[in-house]
Amino acid sequence: MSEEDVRGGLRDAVADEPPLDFDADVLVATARHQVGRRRALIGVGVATVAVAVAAVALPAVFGRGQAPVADRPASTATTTSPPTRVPSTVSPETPYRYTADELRRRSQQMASHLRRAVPTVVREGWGFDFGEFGGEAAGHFYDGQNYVNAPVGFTIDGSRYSIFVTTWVSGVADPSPATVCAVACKQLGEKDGGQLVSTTDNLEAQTIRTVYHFRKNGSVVQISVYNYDMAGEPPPVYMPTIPVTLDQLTTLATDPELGL
Amino acid sequence: MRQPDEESFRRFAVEHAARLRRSAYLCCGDWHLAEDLMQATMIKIYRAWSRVQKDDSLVNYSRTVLLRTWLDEKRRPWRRSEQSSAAVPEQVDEAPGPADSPDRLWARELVHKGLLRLPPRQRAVLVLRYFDDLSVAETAEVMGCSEGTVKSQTARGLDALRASVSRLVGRVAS
Repeated sequence: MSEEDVRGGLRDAVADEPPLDFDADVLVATARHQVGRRRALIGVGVATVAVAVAAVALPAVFGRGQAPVADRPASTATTTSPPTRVPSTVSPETPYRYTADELRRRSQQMASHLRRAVPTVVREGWGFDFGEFGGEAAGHFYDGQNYVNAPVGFTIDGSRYSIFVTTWVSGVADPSPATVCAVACKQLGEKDGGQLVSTTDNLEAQTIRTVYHFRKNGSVVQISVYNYDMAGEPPPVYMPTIPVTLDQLTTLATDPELGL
Repeated sequence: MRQPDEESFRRFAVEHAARLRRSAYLCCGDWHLAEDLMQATMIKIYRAWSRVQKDDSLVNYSRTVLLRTWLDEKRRPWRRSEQSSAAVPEQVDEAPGPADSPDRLWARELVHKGLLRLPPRQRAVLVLRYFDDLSVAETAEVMGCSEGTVKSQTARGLDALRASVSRLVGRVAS
């Protein structure tokens, strides 16, 4: 099969495409609505930050000391300015090539740790359901695979939510601060020499909040929380809010026991 | 967004929606999901429009956003199980449609089914190189990797596609 055959095969594969159900007005209206909701959320965030800053600043004004900056947890609201493209600060390395067996063994270690770590961090949760680590599918690994991931479902106040843990080998080009921030992101500072970045995706009723820890050694830990149980049976039930904070996600993303 | 910006976004969306949906379909193998991916991609581009609209590589930027949107989608287990349920047929349907020869149907079925069996980034690199006709440098820019990686992924992807198609041919023939 030649390259020309591949070209022809791909062209033929879309030859009988169904009619495109696309209305630019509807798309723009949806996008406008989402941008508006996003701004409203940022407004709430700014108000929350103002209250938090006041809470911290007032004791300082009256003479109480604070912990050194280095000892403080990573801030979750370092900026409310418009997102910008951020150059990668992690120097690229040649990715370590894991075998499928190595990935399986490492995943088992991380799975054991997650069973302790997630309930400790998400204290409000119960009914934890730990999915199997894998790649393209649960329990599936292949030589040279550069990531592994696993879902964790849980209940808070009677509603199901989920966290998705993805760990990447060192030296991957994507995700990087540049690719993650290509659309919009929030800088959360640094921890252990690694950059922390968060993103929030809103699509219709679905919300996904993610914290990435771009570690000093080039590996990446990505923790996403969903406003529904993404590992549960479809159709998903979307909740209006996510009762897991960026600080909680950051704690998991910077957990030294997680990572490839 | 200002009115002129919104108009320019609208024009971009109308011009590129079909192309993005086709690329998405080749990657995911499902027209409905491809439409969702295209819409999600367009909304992300809308949010960034004021910054990216004058970018020379806007079209390739849209490909990058689509790629990321699809890869994110694939990481959701319930989506993955939806995709994996689309089993490869044991027999190719050779019933001719209008203007379709059986040979053409055969090739279409095999190349795309073979493509859907490859790892996601190999699939993406083949779509970008052989469907979108991007150069190695452009593909590297879209995928956020080096040109060397694009070359090696393309070579591996073609080998894997050939092997995958051979296996499918064997299954259909047996």
